[in-house]
Amino acid sequence: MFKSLIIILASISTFALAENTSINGSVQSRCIISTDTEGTYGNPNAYTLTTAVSDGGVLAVTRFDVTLADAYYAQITAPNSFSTSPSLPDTVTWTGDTVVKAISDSTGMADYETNKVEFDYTDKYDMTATGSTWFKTTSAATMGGSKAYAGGSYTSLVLAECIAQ
Amino acid sequence: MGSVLPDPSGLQINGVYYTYTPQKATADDFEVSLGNWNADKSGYVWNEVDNWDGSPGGVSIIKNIPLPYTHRSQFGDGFLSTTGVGTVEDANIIYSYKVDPCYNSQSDPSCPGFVAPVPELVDISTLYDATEDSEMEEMDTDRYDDEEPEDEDSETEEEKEKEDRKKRLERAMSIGDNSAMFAQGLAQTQMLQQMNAAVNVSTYLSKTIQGGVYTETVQLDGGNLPDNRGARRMNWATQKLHEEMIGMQYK
Repeated sequence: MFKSLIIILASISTFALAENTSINGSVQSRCIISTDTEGTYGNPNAYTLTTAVSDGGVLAVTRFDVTLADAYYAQITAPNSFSTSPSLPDTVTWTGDTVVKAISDSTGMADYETNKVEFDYTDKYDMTATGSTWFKTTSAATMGGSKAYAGGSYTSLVLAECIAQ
Repeated sequence: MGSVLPDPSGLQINGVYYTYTPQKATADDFEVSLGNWNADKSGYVWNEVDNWDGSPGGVSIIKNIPLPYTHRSQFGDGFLSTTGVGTVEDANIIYSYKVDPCYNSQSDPSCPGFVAPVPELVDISTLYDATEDSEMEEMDTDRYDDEEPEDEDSETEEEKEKEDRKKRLERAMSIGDNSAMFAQGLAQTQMLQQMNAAVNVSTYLSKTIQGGVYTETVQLDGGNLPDNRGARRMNWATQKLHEEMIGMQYK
C-alpha cells in the first residue's frame, strides 16, 4: 500500500514537472556597413559616364566598422548594370574597382589593400583587425558604338557585404 | 592651444579626431606620433603613435580618440612628429569639446553658487584730505599773517604788506578771470538758445480757408457744337493755307 502510494505520487510528480523551457539569445552584429559618400557620375562625353574626379564625378565611399577581428570578410562589388536608366540604345561596357581609402589602425589594417582578392567586379578583404575601414569604388559605363546616352537619370549600385568567416 | 580653441573659459575637451595620409615606400620604416602635452609638459594629455613600417603609403588614417572631459587649462601644445623615411600630407586634427557656461559661477545669475556682487565702498577720506590741500594751507597762512602783532620793524611790515597786496591782487585777478569765463559761457549759452528759438519760428503764414464745395455753374445744352456758319470762309482759308504749307515740303 505504501509502495503504490509512492508510485502514484511519483507519477503525479513526474506529470507536474514536465515543462518546456525556452532559451533565448540575440546576436548583435559586429560588422556594420554604412554609406560614407554617395557616388556621382560625370559625363565627359556623350557616350561615357564615370565617377572619375577629373571628369566631374564623385567616388562612392563605403565604411565598414568591425568590432571582432578575424571574423569577417568585406566584399564590395562595383556596378555592372544600371538599376534605373532611360532606354539604352546599345550595350554598355562596365569597368570598376574598389580600393582602401582610409583606415583607423596603421598596424593592423595597412595590408588590407595588398592582401585583397579580386574577381570580376568584386574585391574581397579579410578584416583582420578591429576598427573602421573606408573603401572607395570607381565606376565607368561606356555606351557601345560610341552612341550617346539618352537624357535622363542614371543610377547604379555598389554592393557591400560583410560575410562571416 | 590658446589660438586653436575658442575663448570660453569653461571649455572642456572630450575627444580628438585626426586624419592624415602618409607618403612612403613600402619597404621604408616610418612612424608618426601625434598628441598634446600637459600644460606643464610633464606628460601627455593624449598621444598616439602610428607605425607604418613595411606598409604601403597613400592610404589615409582616420582615428577618433575619446577622452574624459578635460578642461582646456590642462592642454599644452599639440604636436605631430615623424621618424623614419616618409612624409605626412593632409593632416587635420579636430578637437571635440563642450562649454560649461557655469564654470565661473559668477558669469550668470542662474548658475549654482552665484553670489550677488556687493558694490565696493570707497573710503572718502582717501579721496580728499583737507589738511593736505595747499589752498587751505595758504588761506590759513594768510589768516595768521593778518593776525601778526604790529610790533615788527616798519621795514619788514612794509615788505610783507607789499607781498600780501601782490597776493591779493593775483587772487582778485584770478577770480576776475573765472568770472569773465563764466560770463562768456553764459552768454554763449543764451546765444545758442536764441538761435534755436529763431529756427523754431515758422516762416510760413498760417491761413485757414473756409470750407465748402465750389460746383460747376456752366451747362452745355444738347451736347453738339456746330461750326460757326459765318466763319466758313475763314475756316476754309485756314485749311487751304495748312495744305499749302504741307505741300511746300515736297517741292
